[in-house]
Amino acid sequence: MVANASCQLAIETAGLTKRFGRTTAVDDLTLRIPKGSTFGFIGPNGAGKTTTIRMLMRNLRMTCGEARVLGIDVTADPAGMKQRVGYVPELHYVYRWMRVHQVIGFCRSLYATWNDELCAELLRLFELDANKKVKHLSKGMVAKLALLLAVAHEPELLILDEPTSGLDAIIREEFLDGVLRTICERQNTVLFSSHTLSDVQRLADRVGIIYEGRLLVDCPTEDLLTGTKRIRAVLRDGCTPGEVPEGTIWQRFGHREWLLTVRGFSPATLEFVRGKYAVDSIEVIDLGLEDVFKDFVKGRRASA
Amino acid sequence: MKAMKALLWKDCRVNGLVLIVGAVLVVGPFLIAVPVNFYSERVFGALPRPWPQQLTTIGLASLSFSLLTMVMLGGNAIAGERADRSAEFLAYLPPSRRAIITSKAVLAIGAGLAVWLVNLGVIYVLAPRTARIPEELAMHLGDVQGDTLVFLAALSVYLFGSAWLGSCLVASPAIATGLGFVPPFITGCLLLYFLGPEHPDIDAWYYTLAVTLGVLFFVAGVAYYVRRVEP
Repeated sequence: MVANASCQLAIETAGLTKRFGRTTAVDDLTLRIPKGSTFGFIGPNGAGKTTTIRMLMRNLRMTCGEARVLGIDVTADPAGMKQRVGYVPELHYVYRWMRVHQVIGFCRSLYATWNDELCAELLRLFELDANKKVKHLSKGMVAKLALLLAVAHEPELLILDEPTSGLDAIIREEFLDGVLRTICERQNTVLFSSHTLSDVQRLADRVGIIYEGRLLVDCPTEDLLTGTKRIRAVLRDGCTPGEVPEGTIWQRFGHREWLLTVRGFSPATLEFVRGKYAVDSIEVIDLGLEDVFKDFVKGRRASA
Repeated sequence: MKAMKALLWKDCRVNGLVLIVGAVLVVGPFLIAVPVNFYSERVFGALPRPWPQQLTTIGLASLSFSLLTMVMLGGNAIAGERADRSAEFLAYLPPSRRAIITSKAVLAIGAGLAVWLVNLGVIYVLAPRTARIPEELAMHLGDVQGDTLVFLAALSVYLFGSAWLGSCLVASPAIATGLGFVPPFITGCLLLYFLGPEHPDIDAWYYTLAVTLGVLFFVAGVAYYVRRVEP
């Protein structure tokens, strides 16, 4: 599998699988995330994003497969791996009885690369009261604290699981444009999962779509968006679509209107449609990440 | 070392309530029984017991109460952090599971040893020094029953080991603490059933089994926790 020589990869998995009884949460996942990239990990609820992340962080035993994070086999040296990775989970369980400065002091003792200046800067930026107890902080403030703890030791890889869930619009904006963008610009690797696809499109230079535990897409965001188009063709009366162009991920037909989303779109795709069917009109529509994602998922559901 | 200190500090805080209860159970009997003996003539019209005897009795009572401390320390050790899910936060941080469990074991065993040291100090060092006449000292030595101490020590180990294993397995400190009482009770019942209450070696059997199983449960708990991946 996972070759030792692949030092340019921040995350590398091969055949990663997790089963809970008869349910397969993650199925034979092979993921390769290059160092320095910002990877948006998207999928509907229950697709296996958090399960994958928890296996990468070695907080969940994998059923089979292998995973390397920053070149470290996560089963062999989880403690060494965690020294170099910052992780913000979806739900924050920071010790509620600790004061903010105590949590910071506690984490500071555990990381060899803790940066006091960066920590102080983030404390100011997030307007966190160091003397407040965690249990007295709002949900957004706890999320900020979790982020501070994940970032202040200057990790080579930052893993964020739904980092903006539960944050109000203003804090979300501050977080994305202020903190996350800064981290992305530092050339560190970021893996973040999110349901807010506009955020993913804005920040991620690489995107992975997971559905029912299987990875449907893993490619640069730009390639996915430029290569995936929706075709809207109006067919003549009596004409119904049969054969579809190669790369079709989703289609719908009704009232002569045929909508199909094609990955790997090229002029040949249009030629194919025109050649096969009697077409009154045809147009090509650019899609945002949200539409691409929806069509991938709808297509999978339809074919299931 | 810095990391271990931080973990120990955290575990002291997580087990704060248990440690406070434990301290009250150690000091409480002395705070009640010492003044009672001191003012017994004035208040109750009864002659005070000789101090060596009185202190020995209180020390043994304090050690008996400490059984509760030991089972609570064992039951809260790991399950306490699982209950409020702060164990998940800890699991994202770099310390190895070995370091985490070492810190918990050092705290729990250290607290147990401290309780015993205090009480043994009272029984064997302080109490003899309060004897005013040789007869009092002789009475004191007669009161220090080795068997009782061995029984309390063996039961402490058994209760702690059982609760510790329970704590490694479940996510509720209350259930883990409750589980701590089960094996010592069952062992006692089994010995009574198979050997009978009049058997001359029943005590020795119980002590041996209690210490062996207590240590075994503790080691099994550690091994399970270290091998487990989930918090």
